[in-house]
Amino acid sequence: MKRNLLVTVLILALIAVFASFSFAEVKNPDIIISVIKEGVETMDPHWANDNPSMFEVISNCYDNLLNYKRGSTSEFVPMLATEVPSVKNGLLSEDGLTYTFPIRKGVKFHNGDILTPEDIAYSIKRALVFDRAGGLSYLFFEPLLNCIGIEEIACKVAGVEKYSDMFEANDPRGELKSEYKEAMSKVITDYVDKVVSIDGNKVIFHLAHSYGAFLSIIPHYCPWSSIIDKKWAIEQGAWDGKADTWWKYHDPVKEKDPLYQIVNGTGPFMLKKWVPGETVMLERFDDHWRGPAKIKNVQTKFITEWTTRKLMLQTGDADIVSVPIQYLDEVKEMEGVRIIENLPSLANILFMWTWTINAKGNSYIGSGKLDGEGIPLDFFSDIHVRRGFCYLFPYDVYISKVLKGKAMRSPSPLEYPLLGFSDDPELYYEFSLEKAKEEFEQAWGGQLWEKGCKFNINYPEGWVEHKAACDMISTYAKMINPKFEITPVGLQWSASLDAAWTEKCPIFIYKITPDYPDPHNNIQYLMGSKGGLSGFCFGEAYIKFAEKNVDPLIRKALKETDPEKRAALYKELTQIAHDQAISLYLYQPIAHFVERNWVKGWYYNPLRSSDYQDFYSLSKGE
Amino acid sequence: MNRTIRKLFSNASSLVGIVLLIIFIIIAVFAPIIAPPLSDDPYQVPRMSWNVNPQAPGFIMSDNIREVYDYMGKNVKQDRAICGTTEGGYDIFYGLIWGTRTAFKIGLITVIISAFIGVFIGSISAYFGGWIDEIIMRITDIFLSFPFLVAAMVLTTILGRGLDKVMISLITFGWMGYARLIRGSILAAKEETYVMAAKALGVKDIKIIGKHLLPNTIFPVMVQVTMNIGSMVITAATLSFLGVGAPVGYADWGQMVSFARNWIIGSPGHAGQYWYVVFYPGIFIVLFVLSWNLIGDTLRDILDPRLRGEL
Amino acid sequence: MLSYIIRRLLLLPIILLGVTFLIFCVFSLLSPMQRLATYVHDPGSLKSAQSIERLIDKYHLDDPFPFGYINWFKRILHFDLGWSQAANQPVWEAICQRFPATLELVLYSIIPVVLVGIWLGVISAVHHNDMLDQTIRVAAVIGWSLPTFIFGLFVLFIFYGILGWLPPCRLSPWAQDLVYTSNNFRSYTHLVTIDALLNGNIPIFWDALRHLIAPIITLSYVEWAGLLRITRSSMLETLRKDYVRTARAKGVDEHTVIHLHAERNALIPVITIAGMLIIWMLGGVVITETIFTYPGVGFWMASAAQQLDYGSVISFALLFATLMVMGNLVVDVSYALIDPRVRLE
Repeated sequence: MKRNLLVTVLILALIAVFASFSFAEVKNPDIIISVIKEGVETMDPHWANDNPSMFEVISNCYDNLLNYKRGSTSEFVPMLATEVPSVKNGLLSEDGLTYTFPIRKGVKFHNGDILTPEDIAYSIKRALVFDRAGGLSYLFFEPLLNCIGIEEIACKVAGVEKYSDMFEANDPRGELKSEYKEAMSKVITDYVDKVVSIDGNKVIFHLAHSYGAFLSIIPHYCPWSSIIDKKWAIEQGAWDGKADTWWKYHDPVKEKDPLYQIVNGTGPFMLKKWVPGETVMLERFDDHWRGPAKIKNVQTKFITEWTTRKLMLQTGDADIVSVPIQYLDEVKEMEGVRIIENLPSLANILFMWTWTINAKGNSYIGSGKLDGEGIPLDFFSDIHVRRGFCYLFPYDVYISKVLKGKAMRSPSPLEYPLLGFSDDPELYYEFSLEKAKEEFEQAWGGQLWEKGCKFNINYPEGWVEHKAACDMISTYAKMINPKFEITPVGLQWSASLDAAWTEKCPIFIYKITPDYPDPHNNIQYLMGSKGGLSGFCFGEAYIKFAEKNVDPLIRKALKETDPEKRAALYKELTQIAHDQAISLYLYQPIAHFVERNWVKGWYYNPLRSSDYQDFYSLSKGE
Repeated sequence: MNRTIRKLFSNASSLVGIVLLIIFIIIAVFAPIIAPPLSDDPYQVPRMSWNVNPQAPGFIMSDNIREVYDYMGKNVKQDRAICGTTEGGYDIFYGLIWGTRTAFKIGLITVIISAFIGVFIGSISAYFGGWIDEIIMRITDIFLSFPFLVAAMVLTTILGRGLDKVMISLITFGWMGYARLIRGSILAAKEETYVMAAKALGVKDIKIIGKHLLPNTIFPVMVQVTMNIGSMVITAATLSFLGVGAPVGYADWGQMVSFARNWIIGSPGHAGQYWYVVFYPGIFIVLFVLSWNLIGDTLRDILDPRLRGEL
Repeated sequence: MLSYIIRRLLLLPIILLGVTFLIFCVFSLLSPMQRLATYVHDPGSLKSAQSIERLIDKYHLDDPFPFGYINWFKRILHFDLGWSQAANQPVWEAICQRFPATLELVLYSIIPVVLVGIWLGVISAVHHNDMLDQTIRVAAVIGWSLPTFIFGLFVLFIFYGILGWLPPCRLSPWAQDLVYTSNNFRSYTHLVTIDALLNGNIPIFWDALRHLIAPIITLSYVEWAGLLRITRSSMLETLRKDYVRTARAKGVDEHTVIHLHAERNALIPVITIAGMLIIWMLGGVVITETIFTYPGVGFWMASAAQQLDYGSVISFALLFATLMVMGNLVVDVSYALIDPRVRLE
């Protein structure tokens, strides 16, 4: 009796719940909902280097001195500065060492404070002081102070070997030993304070050397040069701008970073709420200096499941959704959805080989000798080996079948449309099993061909297309010579850090994106002897090679200010990359963008990729 | 024993289970004939196409892949993907057949080893009692207090992908149930007169445990073993689904379904067009686990002393 | 009784110590470079030279074996659970934000599990070995043989993809806006459905419920089979008892015999198990939350495990272990309280 009653009540309740679905769903007319794959990590512009933080939140809430002309990656327009410095208008000195920015008046921060040149000077200096390990402040150090980071300066001034030597118990987050206090203060007074000066309404940058790429690290989409409110930042507990305690604010752990979850910028949106792991909600800043945005609310949700994102797009619960290439076809037939294709993205996928492999605990090289059961440690230092692999990869089949044609070949570390990019056919390796055979037969004086080789090729787990590329190399190598046994092995991210960055991977497939759209960034990273990748993963033999043949050119191209001359120099570097087969440059993805067709005003800028939006330009309507 | 087997065959549901199991055993044994391997490692599922999209059942191997196999002198007898391909072009049919062997491997090895460990630990603990019992039971409690799936995920992420690593994680966190079970039974049984008599006669402890106690108390463990084979396979499939577990391209049902989660909805207007990616591996998993569960369920009823005489 | 409870409670710290130490040992299998992966999600972070060295120093990734554990232990004594890289917030905050969501899901799931399991278990026992019994048992075994993730995906497909009734996540955007940012909405318990009722906001109540139904179905369908079996065997045993036979002999109608006499007594062991069910479900909630992108502890744990986020995993293990020990204790004690024949040793 009682049970039947309970069951009836339950059934009635369920009916009521379902009945409630029939009244009109709220269509979210004044919210734009964007769904991305990964969550935002921080709100601090000087900490961020993950794409969601940088482009979904910081770029929408903070402004920079300059902006890019709509959709361009090389033309600048004024933003918080009122003019773009050039030699012509006198704001850039002839020797390339001084950049002057006149500052716009009457710009408000979210909390009502007015923007002054003080804020700009403070923002840059804080970036230098903060300099977190693994962050992007190093981009300022190279032009402004010609070094890697503030710790390098501190060590030089104090005369110690390691930065932590100056602290009690070697803990940089602890107490500073009193004998170093004076030296540490000098770091600010003699170095950091000298890079930026204020003259009335103008902010002046003093570079340490001529740097053709300087303007590329200042504008919008470079979060590290976002302008924050000095007064507010100090109130929240950030660096007070003084020289006598700066080390306490240097490289904190995330939980001690006072700005990690709060926002106060001059950008068109304010932070409403951040629920880590779920969503970020932004709302319109009505006093924005460009005029208020068209849309009142923005909500970004973080959903890793493709199926869920797709269903949200289908039902209209999401306005913009991140769609991986292999599923684009599924979205094409959806009603009410607009797809924009053929957007060149600034990513570069390549196979890198280690010229001098680290043998310690290395299971990927077999016997470690050229005896058919493994490879010797300097296997890839022979140019014929490298060239052989470059000829044996079926580029066209890969791009058309695995990538569904959504990619273009890149001949070098430079992507289209960066300065210096060239599609000269001379620079591309063609797929030719004959030529590959020729090269391999010459490798190691013919021994390789006779004895064969056996090793592993590595790819990061979860990337189906990269596994396919590895399978292709393995398959075609075997086709050429059955004694070539190359087995693909997938690595979890933690394992790949351990293997690739300690020079253990014979071949590793890798995707890179530049931090800013100047060729120097990529070339240095992928070819320089001290490059982030080439200097750390390619091995001793490569470093020696690069020091002699690559570095001088890189320096020359960097100092050059004439764009045409620079382009020619970068083309020369590309030629070297090709001739020496420094890496196997695979492809540059062509991206796409997917939105519901009631969203208006979208435009593409490769810097923020199609996954992250400039919400100021968007609106929603029928 | 004979009575048990007779009862298993006479009960309808367990009969179905036994028949299913026999079918699976046949598939596993004859795998090399049903689905001839095309590479040195038979557990490496052959690709039918370089295309990322799953291909429908009946798809014929694409030309550039066939060229490669011809060149390498491999005789391609099976060039049709009867059940279609998964994301990345792996032949589903091949994966199903060899996956049967993988399922048996995972199920039997993990369960037998963890049962062995569990029974060993549990019987020592129960027989000797006192301090030993306390300490061993505390250690068992510690392992039991782990959230199983999370612990298995962590261990497999650390150890890396691979079937053996999955089995290690499952064994590490799977022995406790057996330990507790056998301990309960032995604690009750060791007060029996025949045990006391054996002790009085001076029979060695090991012999008492091995010859007298265990044979009389092992039945609940056997039931548990049958039930757990199925759940181990499901857990392994879950780990593959979550991205840790068998490597991509390995013949493992769970691995094949892990591709499926992104294709299950299909395109609008063609809802469920990639049904075969989920359906075939899914049905194999369900039937395999079902067969063990049906047998185990009936076995439990047969051996339940409270129901003796009823069944 | 009291001494038994105290003795069991004294075990708790030992178990917690054991669990955390074991996890720490497992994580020590990683090299410092591998541990770096928790802090560095994409190689772009390593663009400047020296980044790796600085990062390893900063996070003490190459501390010798016991120091890492000792340091962690010291912080725990100050109630500092550390930072969750996977959640991008302090661990304690992450737990407080996510645990109520999971609790809400699990508590609601108990209802169908218990109701359906018990109801079918009783029917099955009463019609012992009938067609009905066999059918129910087979249905139970089939349900139990379906992996959760496949079932969950189908539920998502049918109820969201095709019908559009039951969306993923916890709340719709407009509701999320209200709950998280509005001053008019007070979160008393952080269980959204309860809070909505307490605030008198019915649309939010329905919205939250809508988002809960699919995960509830997925989470509960595995468990009701287990409960069914226990109910069935307990009921079967009770039905054979003398007092039932006597009642039947007295001429009491079958309905009263079953529901008034047998069921009450048969349900005693079942109810105690139901308490443990909540705790078991907390462990099994990972898959369900992943499929429905439901922001609870399971979802958080899935990403923490994949990222090898040591701090999060250990803290969750602490939480879970505590709940297990307490749960077991409550079940044993209540069993003893209800059935006077049970003696606690």
